[in-house]
Amino acid sequence: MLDRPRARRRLARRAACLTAAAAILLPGTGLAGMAATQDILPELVFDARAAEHLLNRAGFGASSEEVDAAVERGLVATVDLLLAGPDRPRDPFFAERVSYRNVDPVRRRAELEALAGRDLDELTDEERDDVAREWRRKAIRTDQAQLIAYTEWWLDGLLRGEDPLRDRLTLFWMGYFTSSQEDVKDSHEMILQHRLLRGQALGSFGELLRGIARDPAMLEYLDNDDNKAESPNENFARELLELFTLGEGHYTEADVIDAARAFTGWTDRRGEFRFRNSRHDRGKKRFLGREGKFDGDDILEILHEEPRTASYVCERLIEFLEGTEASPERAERYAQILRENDLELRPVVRALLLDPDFYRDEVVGNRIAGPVDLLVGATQRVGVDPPSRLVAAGCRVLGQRIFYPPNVKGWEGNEGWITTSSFMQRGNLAGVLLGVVAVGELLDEPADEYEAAMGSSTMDGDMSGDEDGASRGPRGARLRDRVMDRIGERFDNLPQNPALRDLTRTESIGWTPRYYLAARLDRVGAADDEAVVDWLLDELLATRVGPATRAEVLGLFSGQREELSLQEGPWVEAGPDVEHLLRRTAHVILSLPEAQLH
Amino acid sequence: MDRRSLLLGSAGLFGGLALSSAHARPGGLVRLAGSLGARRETSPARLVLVGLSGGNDGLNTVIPLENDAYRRARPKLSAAADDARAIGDGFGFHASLEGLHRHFMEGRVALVHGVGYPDPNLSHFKSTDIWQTARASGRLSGPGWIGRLCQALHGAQAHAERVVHVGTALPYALYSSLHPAVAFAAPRDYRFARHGDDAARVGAGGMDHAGGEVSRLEFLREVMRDAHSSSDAVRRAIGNHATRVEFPDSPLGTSLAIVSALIESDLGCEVLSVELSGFDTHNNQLSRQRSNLSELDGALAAFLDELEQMPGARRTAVLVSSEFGRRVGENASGGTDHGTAAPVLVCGPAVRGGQFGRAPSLTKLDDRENLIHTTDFRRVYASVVEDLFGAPSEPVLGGSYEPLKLIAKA
Repeated sequence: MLDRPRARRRLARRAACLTAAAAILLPGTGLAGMAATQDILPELVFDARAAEHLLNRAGFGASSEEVDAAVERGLVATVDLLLAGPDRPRDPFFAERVSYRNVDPVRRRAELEALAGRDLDELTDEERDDVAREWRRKAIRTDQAQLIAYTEWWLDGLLRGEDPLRDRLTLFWMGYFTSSQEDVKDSHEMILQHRLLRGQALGSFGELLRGIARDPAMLEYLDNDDNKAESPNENFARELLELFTLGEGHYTEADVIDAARAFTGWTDRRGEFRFRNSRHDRGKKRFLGREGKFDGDDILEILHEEPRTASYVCERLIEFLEGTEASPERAERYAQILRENDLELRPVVRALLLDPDFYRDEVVGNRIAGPVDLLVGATQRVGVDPPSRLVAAGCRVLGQRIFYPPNVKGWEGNEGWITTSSFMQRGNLAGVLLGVVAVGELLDEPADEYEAAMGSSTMDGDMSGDEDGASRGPRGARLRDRVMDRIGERFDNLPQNPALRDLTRTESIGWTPRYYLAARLDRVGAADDEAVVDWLLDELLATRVGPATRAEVLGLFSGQREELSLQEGPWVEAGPDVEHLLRRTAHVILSLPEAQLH
Repeated sequence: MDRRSLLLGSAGLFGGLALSSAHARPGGLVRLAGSLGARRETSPARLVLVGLSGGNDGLNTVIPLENDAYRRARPKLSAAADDARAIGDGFGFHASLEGLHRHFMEGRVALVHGVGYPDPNLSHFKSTDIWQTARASGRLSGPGWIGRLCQALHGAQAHAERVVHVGTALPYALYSSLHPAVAFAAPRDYRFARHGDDAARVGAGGMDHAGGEVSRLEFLREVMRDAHSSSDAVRRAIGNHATRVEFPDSPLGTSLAIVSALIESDLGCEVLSVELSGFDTHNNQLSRQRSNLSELDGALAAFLDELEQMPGARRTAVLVSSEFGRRVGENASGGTDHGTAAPVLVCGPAVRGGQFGRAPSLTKLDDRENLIHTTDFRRVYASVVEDLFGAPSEPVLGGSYEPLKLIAKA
């Protein structure tokens, strides 16, 4: 079939191994690294701004102490530390196959009998159906619970900053090789896929591609389990070309059709990959100008060799990390590195993080933080330690339900995160992390505030005092005589926003943030209003604010301090009022437009 | 205000401050007053989008009653023809569409047959994208078609409540960085819980862009200003509103009651949108579609009744569409797979009722056994853009499409 490229790739792989070996012998001086160090580095001043940018984008944000430590360490050492990962990783997550779709039949039977309290053979058909339904309901709950536990396990690592660069790239691959539990309905498969993505996040794109083509969750998500010789399903083949390797416009419909034929019979059974010979189309195929009796592996090999694949991967990767589309020349420069390393990702990521262009003004502080970036980043900057369940629920409120991407293209990113509604919820969730907003307040507005917002009319039925009373005036009065349905009273009947309901449930954890801004200000010697505001802005935000915003925040803080008849620092001595004022100010800062950027 | 409430009851100080600053803040009131002053005697043009997501089966929504090919292709699913509600020309509405049938017979529903586009895409995502941007390349081409409509109508002059989505996920049609849409699922959740008003005041920043491209920071500031000005206004308009007719208790019923309130509020809403999902009926279609169409019918018929009685709604139209129809032949699971063309409904006071276009042949199919569309969906959009909003449709749709005569003369 395809001997030539296969041999070529074996050679290339060997070359990559040698490169990797060189990197091990001389830590921090891989070939790409040396090139970068010599050709590029002198142009870049690695100051606090650059270091914070690196830690924001190659991880999930950092405290100012960590930023200072990175500056001290220097760019190359910091990047290599990020690439190296933790010395001693946590135990992996213990996952079991519990989905009703794929559970082991022996286990299923035992569970059914436990539920029925009798041997299945003793049941009538009707009873058996009832038990089966009940079992399925329970199995779905168990399955969801396992995925939630795994989500929390993963987020725990992010919150602790265990392996930030790996997890940053894992998030990238989760939006690249997407699958959703909504369709997959098997937490074990979702966890296996995530393990593949996380394991190879800095590894080999070729391995990722080969792994994902055999990945049970992906086979399910893109219907390849339904791809048979007599009725090919093109879903996987199409996304393989459009979203995984070449990008739109770099293949024809005929390529999709024949690639789909090559993948016929690639399916999964009980949560494991399985090739079903009887479903496979053994005929001749034409793909990207080549001809042969290709199977799925041949297609993957051709795509591995195809130069466009490296270009597409680099375009997506650079856009994800920089927050803005890469110029064709720049993407090509990186594609070259990727090809030279037989699609090993580590040299590309290393070169990018060392590239002065990565630190240009257009990039720094100009990416809209996604929900994970925003909430995990806030915990790092504020220095609080919320339970990961709260963070997961918060992400869902903001539109990023982990393991449930909206569609095969993953999350939209940047402006796509922002609506008026999500903007307000971002501020509200910052308030939760700071302990100034109770979780329950997001779902249920305190009654007095609601009444106040609605105007007096809700209470006494008099609309004339309402500021927009003029618009409804007499018509409003006429209307009320034959009120069928006052919408305000329907709100209780509205289905609750499931994301907010999730969040409200975290209230039972009983978490309160432990931090003390006044004490920190005293420690750093920020004694007057200006020093306080500058420190808060610097500490809490991932970006810098302009002079106008700084002046406004300063005015707000000074005004409220004076209103409370408080003296300027030292702050702890001045009592709890100061800490409350500082926290409110922190909440205002984290609700700013600037706080949405990183 | 005493010190205690100042410090502890954020509800006290900040709730109070929030309110008083909202009253004192020029932006909100000026905006409101502006829209009041601008109230015209004639009704303003308004569009309500009802998205049926998942791909509604057109052939069992508007059923070709006398077509043998239909019965042959659907031995099980053609049962829906038995109790269909005839609308003339050999077609019948699905039995669940009782209220819509009444509105159709009274001349308030325009039915456009066989709506689709060339080279149909069978993926939910891509086909939705094509419908929502009016372009084959989908979102790669830029904002959604409603965003472009706003640009055509108002240039860069943004107004917070002009485009509102009642639901959780914003449809891409409404996406625009120049004219960001307001979106909320439940009005009670649509607010800053504390301190947001302070943030809105200190974070407004300067207007540092003079036309041209909007920077990300400027975009965020614009959204924040919109959020701030619309939160109380929108919630008040909805919470205090009473509809004239009773809306069903379904989620769509409540969403359309909210839309009624917004239309009547004079907040300046021009495009409002709601979505109903669950139309991806690969199996067990008869009962699933029946329950989906019942929810649609109950809510939409009530909404159309409400619009009829609303003096300010003479120029309101409702567009009901889905990302694609479904395969002609039924599958082995009592369902249908992804297909292509399907009928679109445009209804409401501004509409000329009747049947438009030609139903596609059920025997001459494309190479994937799918219907070949007879009317491009952009011709439906073109009639909305030109005949309802009075704007040129070419810049909005990225090409020239002949409007259908769906909209009554103003």
